[in-house]
Amino acid sequence: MLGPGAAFELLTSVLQLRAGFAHAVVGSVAAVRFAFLVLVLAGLSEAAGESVVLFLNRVRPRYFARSLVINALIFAFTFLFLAASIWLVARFAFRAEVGLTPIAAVVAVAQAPRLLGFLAFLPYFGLPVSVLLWTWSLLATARGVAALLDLAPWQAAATIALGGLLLLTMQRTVGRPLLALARLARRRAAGVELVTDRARLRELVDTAPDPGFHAPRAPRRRGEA
Amino acid sequence: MITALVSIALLALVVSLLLSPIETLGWWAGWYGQGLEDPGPPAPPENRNGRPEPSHFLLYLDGIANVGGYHYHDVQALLDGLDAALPHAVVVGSVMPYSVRDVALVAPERPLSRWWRRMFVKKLKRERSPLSFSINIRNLYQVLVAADPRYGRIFGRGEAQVMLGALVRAGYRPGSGVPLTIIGYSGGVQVGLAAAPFLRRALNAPLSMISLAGVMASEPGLDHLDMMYHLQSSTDRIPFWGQLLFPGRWPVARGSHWNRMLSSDRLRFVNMGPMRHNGPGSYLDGATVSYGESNLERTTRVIVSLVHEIEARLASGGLEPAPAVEAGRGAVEA
Repeated sequence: MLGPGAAFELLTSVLQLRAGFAHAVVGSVAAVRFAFLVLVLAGLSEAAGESVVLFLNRVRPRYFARSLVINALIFAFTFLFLAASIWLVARFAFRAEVGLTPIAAVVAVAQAPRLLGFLAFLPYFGLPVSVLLWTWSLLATARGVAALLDLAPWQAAATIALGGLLLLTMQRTVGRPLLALARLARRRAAGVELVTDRARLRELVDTAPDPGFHAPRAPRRRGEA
Repeated sequence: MITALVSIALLALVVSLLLSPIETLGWWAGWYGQGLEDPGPPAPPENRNGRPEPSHFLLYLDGIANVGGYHYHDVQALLDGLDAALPHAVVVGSVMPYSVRDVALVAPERPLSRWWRRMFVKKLKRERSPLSFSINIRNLYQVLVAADPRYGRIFGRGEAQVMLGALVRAGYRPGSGVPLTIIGYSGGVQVGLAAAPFLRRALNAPLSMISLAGVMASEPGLDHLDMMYHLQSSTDRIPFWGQLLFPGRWPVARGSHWNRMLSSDRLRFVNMGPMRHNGPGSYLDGATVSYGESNLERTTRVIVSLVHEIEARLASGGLEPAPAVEAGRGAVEA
């Protein structure tokens, strides 16, 4: 694993959007491993920041931590698939001669701003902070991809945009079984039927059967009569 | 040394802000047990000590210095004044506006209850300690929870249950159609607005609000009020912070709940003259006298006259109760 000094230097480079981080992260196996660790930790932090969904679904405490870990892994896999899409676009649209692992490492470490994703949990200020972190990591990804593939900024932006589009297309076609698997994993980890879309989450709070005099009832667990 | 202390203080503020939604979310998730109990049947009529059946309920939501369970002397004086001037109404002031579990900060079940008790005593002794301001910060964070689009609905629902429980215990009969007027002070207005959609659904009765220097966001709850009066002094800058902090209240946010309320005839502003937000010279200060009456007397008099105005409008049919709608339904987001 990368030493603390080198790890700190790499993270600082990403956060400051310095182009050099792309070559630094593919320079050693230890740096690549560190990049993937950053990705998983960023996923964990994001999951904590967005844990309001788990609370709204009344996930019990002992299932809560499990759900955070599963959400972090799903986050990491999603970005690895995004890296694969970017790699395909770069290879076939811009004839870039680079392996999948370096691209994946750059995309992974570029998510470093999302290590602060837990701040999305802040009341009122959390949502703008979340948008800021999302934009920051997107800029870091563009900077890293441009440096690694020696592309112009517009080419890097186009590569990432097309990669994202490709990922979305695959999610809605051949990737459906994987999405279903992710949903199943989330549900199993949470121990309840998870509601995730915004309209149904609002309904959860608004359309309870009682007129407001009773405490919220515990949700029915799977397997309970 | 000073840098370290400032860093620690800032870190403590961020960490406490991060933890502030936990009570609301944990309550909703059932992490605190079964939550609120059924409030039971309304109080029997004999509890009214011979006074007639109430034709109006007033629910007071205190500002962010509130610790729950106790009132400061000036707040108690306001509640006593309203109670004396409005014998046909019931004044309910027992609600802790900043806890969906209705647990006072000084209640033993809170891990930091000893701290809050000490800070409360400092406030009662009027000691000027920055530490005692931690009560205000803690409750200010709950105002932010109430204003957050993700947490506000849960907070509003929880607080509505707390308020309904207090109303029923005070003799309110759900379905009776007896009007309810929320009197919010400072951050209490935001709490009242978050709860308003749920109160409207549960009571199906006229619902109005008197905002005493209220700090509030552009809330869907505004759509559920029949009438709102905003009492404010031109020398009190605190409510302007709410105007600045919440973009839904900016003039550019056309179509926001607040701006639609502004363009309707359901919102009226009342200038209270020169008064401060809190402390000496505040709206509730009984010692500061101008134009022959104290600030407290003037505030009480204005609120009483507004309650009479609401009742007159109801009697004349000029304040038609809005149809009960499901909480948040049909509301346009700011």
